[in-house]
Amino acid sequence: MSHLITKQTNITFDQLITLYEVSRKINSQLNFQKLLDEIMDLAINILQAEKGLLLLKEEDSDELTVQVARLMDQRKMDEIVAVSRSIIKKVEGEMKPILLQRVPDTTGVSENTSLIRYKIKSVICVPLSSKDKLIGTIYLDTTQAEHFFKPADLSFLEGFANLAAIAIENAKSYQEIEKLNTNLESQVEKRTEQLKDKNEELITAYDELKDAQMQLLRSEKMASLGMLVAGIAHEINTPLAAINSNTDMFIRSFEKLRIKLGSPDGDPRDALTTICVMENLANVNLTACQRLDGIVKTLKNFARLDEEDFKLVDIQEGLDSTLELTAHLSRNRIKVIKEYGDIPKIRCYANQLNQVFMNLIVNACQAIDRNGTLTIRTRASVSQVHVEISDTGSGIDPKHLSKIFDPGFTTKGVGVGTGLGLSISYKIMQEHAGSIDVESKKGKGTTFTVNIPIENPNAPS
Amino acid sequence: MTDQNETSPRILILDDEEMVLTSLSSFLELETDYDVITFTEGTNALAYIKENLVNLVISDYLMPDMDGITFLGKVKKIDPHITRIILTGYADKENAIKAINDVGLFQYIEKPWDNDDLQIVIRNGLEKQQLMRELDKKVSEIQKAYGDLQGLHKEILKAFA
Repeated sequence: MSHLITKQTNITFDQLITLYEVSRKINSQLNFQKLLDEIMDLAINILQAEKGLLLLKEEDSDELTVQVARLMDQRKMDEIVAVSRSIIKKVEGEMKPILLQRVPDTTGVSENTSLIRYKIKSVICVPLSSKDKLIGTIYLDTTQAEHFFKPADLSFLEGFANLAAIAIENAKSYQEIEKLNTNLESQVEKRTEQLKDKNEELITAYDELKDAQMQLLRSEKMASLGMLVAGIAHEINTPLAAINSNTDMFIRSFEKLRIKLGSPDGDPRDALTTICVMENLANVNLTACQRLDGIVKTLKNFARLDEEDFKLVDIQEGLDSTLELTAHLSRNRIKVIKEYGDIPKIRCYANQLNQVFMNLIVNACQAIDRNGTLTIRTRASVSQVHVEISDTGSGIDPKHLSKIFDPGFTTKGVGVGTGLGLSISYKIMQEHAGSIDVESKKGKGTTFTVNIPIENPNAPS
Repeated sequence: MTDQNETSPRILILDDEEMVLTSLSSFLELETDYDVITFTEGTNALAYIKENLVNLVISDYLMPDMDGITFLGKVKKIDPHITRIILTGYADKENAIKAINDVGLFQYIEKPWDNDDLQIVIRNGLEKQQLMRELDKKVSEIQKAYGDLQGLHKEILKAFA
């Protein structure tokens, strides 16, 4: 502004005040079209022009086009405005203001017939420039009188034009920023929408996955339970069959004895054979009941139902129970060798460790196609107890070795394995701060080693 | 073989569980007049069958040294007319039934068994065995008669020649 003042020495104080007012007004207007209207109105009003035009350079065509055209009474001109194109051209070309105080004048520019035809007496036209580049022009004229526009008006309009150009550029930038902003906002909105959709998809997928996992865990539990139940059913069946048959025999025999001993000519000695047989059967029943009792004890020991979870136990007892419950898998074909070392009792979740042993023993039995040997070894090191479960089965393919603990990995085929046995075992061992190692030779057999710390750092206090 | 009807039918039972053998044999001894002999090992049972007349064999399915199906297959080779019955537990029923068709068994009895059912199955098995033996006897009689007739026929032809 100070630059303007020093340069335009012939500007009056009143004009300076006006410029200040103008500056305030147009700088607060950020709407582009409204700003242009305002600039035009202000120029016309302040300089009392009859007609005013505001032209701006089109960005793409680089041509000046009329943005605003006004009469004094602010009616918008619809018809083609009568202007001196040559004056505007001259301003555009030289980037200098022009003041025609009377028409025609001596400069030559006023030879344009349109000025004469429209009886225009005085013209003032200034360039709108920003960073030394012409962005447009402001054109004012009047038919009222020659010398209507004074050199002071020209100076004022030049100042005015400088302010207007800045305001126009600002508004343009603002418009662009706003456009970018809107664009950005809509893009953000679009992306947010997409993200929301993806998120919902992910939530659904996660839920489905969780369901599937639950189902797998359930089926693994069912498979383990099925294995257990099959073993127990097999174990219970023989003593049960004997007791069932023998009890039936007792009923039949008592009936016969009653008849024999009840008849007057009955010989008590006849009953002796029957009694002997019954005695024999009673003994069988006793043995059968002991067998059943043993099965129940084994089950209790395996499940540890009547004990608190974390307890000091002899894990060899757990191994024995597990071997008994899986005996139906090894019977008649697999030789079971127990090589128990001198190991201390350890504090652990006994039923969970039994589940690990069960998984490993069942796998071992399944790995042996026909005949083979299953060896269970226990030993203690400084801080750990080790349980080795060794089979002479088919072995694990080296390319599968890294995957065997992955959930869902199985080579047993549909309906046989759930692929969760080892991964659950692995997790149980992690909870015990222990580990499972595997060593396998294809065609020779596999050894799983369960390492359990004697002092479990994860122990509940 | 001719005095078959005069002696009691002989039943051989094979099971690795003494418990089962005692229960089964006690029942059969008290309730029937069958001659019952029991074994806990398949090889001993087979040796016995080779030397002695046996009408019906009941074998357990799961046993340590020889499974029931293998055993009964060997029995069939020794004497195809011996009625063969298998005793199956709950867990191995499916496997047993599959094998039954391969070896050609008369029946399977599920553990725990019902004494009355067992008795009926044994009676039917013996009846079948007896009928088969009789049929064999009749067939050989007919064959003998046919041979006789052929001889006679030749003699007649010779006489008229």
